[in-house]
Amino acid sequence: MSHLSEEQLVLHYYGEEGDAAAHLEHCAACRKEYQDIVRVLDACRELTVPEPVPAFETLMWQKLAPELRKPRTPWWRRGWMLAPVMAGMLAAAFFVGRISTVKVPVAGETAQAIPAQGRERILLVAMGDHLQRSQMVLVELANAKAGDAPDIHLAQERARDLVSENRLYRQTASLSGANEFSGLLDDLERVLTDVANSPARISSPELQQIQRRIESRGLIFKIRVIDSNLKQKGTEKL
Amino acid sequence: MEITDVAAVEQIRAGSTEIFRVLVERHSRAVFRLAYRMTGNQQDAEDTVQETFLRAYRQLHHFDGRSAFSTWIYRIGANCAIDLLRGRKKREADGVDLLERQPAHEPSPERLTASSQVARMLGPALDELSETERAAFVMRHYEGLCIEEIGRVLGVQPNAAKHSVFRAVQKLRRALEPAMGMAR
Ligand SMILES: [Zn+2]
Repeated sequence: MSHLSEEQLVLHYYGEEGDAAAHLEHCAACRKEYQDIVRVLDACRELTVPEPVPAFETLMWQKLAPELRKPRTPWWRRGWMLAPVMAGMLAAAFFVGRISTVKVPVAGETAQAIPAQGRERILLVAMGDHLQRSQMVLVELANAKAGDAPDIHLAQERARDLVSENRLYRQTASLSGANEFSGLLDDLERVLTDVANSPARISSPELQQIQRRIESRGLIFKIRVIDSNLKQKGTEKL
Repeated sequence: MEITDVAAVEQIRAGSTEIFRVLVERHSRAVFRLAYRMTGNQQDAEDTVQETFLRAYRQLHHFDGRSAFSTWIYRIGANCAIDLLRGRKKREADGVDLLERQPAHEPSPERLTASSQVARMLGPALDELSETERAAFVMRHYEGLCIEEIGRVLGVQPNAAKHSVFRAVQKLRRALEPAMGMAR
């Protein structure tokens, strides 16, 4: 019978390895190893946290309050008035309309399949805007120099906002069976989420990983294609 | 009557910035504790608390109430501490501010006599961990989060979180066991 690994023993210490106890009961070698781990980890509990300064909470608030009052609307948000829910509804209208144009055989152009052309146009603009802003973030990251700890916090803040919008577009696209869109939005969302979750000062390997991802999926190119299709569709409707 | 966290968030979003104070007063100590264990000194821990609440305020529109506010702010706090550690490592590598910064984990005289050599070595040993290892270890060992929760906080798969905890323990064993008279 094989012995328990160090990893299993460590997990057992934290109560996250269910099967270790039985083995430990009748294996002296593993028991010894486990006791060593217990001694070290128990000793680590000696790290005490000092009490923060008196009136800590008040002090924190006093330092924070002036910062909160500073206006901080990033330039790329100004004029972007479509709330995500609204955008989601429009997306639904768009994709439903789109699907019905595919499924219903109609002689003429798509006109009768889409009840609300005005809404669609707004959506085309919204989607186009979303894709363009995503593209800007991707281009910025793709061109970032992987030198020492590049600061990507601006791209990151934009990515954070784009993720939730993107999710709505993607979900709607996937529900509507618009696979070319949902595939692209899915790829895009993964990259945006990665960017949003990485630290503001990213390490070179992490940046390179993101860059490889952008490149391998051909994301920037695909977005350009879809964006120009959307624009064309928008002009047809006018 | 005490306002709930969720109600406070709604009021802040509606423009009552002052209400944010309730959240700061309610949660800053917990964030401080986490930050202290991750950064190893009081000043860095306080800076982390500041940055955490500032980020939280700016990202308040992302708080969807699916998890508790305490979980959400904790998650931001852990990531702020990781960022601070990364920045610190970089500054140290550049040779900047080595003189300015308080030495981490300077034990008080009474602690030195009361505690073993291990306690004195623990701070430097923790400083040797990577940021993610340290975050994962602190959350597992001191804060009692399970592997899965740690993965969620760090935005990684449970397996990666598990590996970080394990790597941390391995490194700590290597650093501390000789001082404890244990042969390896
Ligand atoms: Zn065994």
